[in-house]
Amino acid sequence: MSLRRELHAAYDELGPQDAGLSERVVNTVERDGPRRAAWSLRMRAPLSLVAVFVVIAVIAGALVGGRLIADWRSLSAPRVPAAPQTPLQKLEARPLHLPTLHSATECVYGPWGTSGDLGTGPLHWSGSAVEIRTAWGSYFHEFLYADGAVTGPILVRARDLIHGQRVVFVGQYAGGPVVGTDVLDGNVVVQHLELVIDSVTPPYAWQIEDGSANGTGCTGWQIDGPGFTETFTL
Amino acid sequence: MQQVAETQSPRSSAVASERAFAELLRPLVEPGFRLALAMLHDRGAAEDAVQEASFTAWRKLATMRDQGRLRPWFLGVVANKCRNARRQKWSSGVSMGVPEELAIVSGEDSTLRNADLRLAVSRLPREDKLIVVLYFYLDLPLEEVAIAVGNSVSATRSRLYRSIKRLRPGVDVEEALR
Repeated sequence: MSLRRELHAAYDELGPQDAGLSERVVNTVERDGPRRAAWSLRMRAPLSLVAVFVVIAVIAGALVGGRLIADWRSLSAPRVPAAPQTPLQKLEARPLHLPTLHSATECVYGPWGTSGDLGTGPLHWSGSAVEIRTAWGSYFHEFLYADGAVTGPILVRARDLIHGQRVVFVGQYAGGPVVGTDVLDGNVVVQHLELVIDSVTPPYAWQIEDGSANGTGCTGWQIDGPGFTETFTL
Repeated sequence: MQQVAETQSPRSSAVASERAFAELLRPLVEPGFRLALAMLHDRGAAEDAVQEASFTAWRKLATMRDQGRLRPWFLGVVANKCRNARRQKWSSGVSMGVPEELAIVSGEDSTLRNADLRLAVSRLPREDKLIVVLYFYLDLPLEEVAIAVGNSVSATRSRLYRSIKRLRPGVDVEEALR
């Protein structure tokens, strides 16, 4: 028996569809759709205002707190000679070559590789429709893969091209500065500003998780590795 | 389905538009339910997921730039609703229709074999599982599966191959794809 037949048998066993389901679903949408849309609109406006205030408060707190900490450190820390840079630090020292846009209408996705995924190489980005929403924002499972053998480390950074807000990374490859925490699938995750792939081994493909709060849907990504810098917009 | 998908948006308040939306939605409910049932293994939860996805479709259909992609888009929405439903409902695992201990027992009984297969699929990474269900159970072409999961066709194909190798080690992939 083919795998297709086996899967049909396995799932059909869970039970046939109720013959009236289609009508029931359609009727419910027609009956309740306008009411739910109105409720959603009423809720969304105040929530948006709250979200804006929260973001402003967080940014202001981070700026003020960061400045105070920097001042305190500059006064209290003993001067030490700079340590030799690691390969990752050299990549981190590269500036972000990402444009700043004024509106979403200026956003042009690309460049696209020959495979239909973003990026002209050596790395490519393959997206996902799977969005996980939290009170903070939205997270996405993406897929990063290389054309062939590449060497590490690989550093990925991204930011909203309109707001300038940095994209955060969570999970296995998240690295660099920590900017916060969130609860994802019941687990506390730490949000980092960088994605760092140290162990670059075959099959040269990595599942990554990134998140944005109040993003405009237009983000610029920069991938740095030994001997290459690659940027694209998604 | 494609022809129906090109009809007018449902967001207009006109009765004609509501009828058009009903015509768009009706053929999507059955595949949506089958997908949700395969993902959740629970009829009630599957119906809820399809209903919620239908509300989303009602609100967002007008914003779709390419309504020819309606079916994979709707199935993608259903998949998201399933994920949210599972996050709300459980954190340890889904019911396989029979207790897991029983499913581990190698059985000649077809019920146990089916449960074993459902268990194996449920242990795939979430997107891989979605691809397997859409391709093998809903019989969607690979191009529509790719749209539903938001990946390129090549990436979707490679993930499908990987899943087949996990589900049926040693089986020729091309053979399994039939």
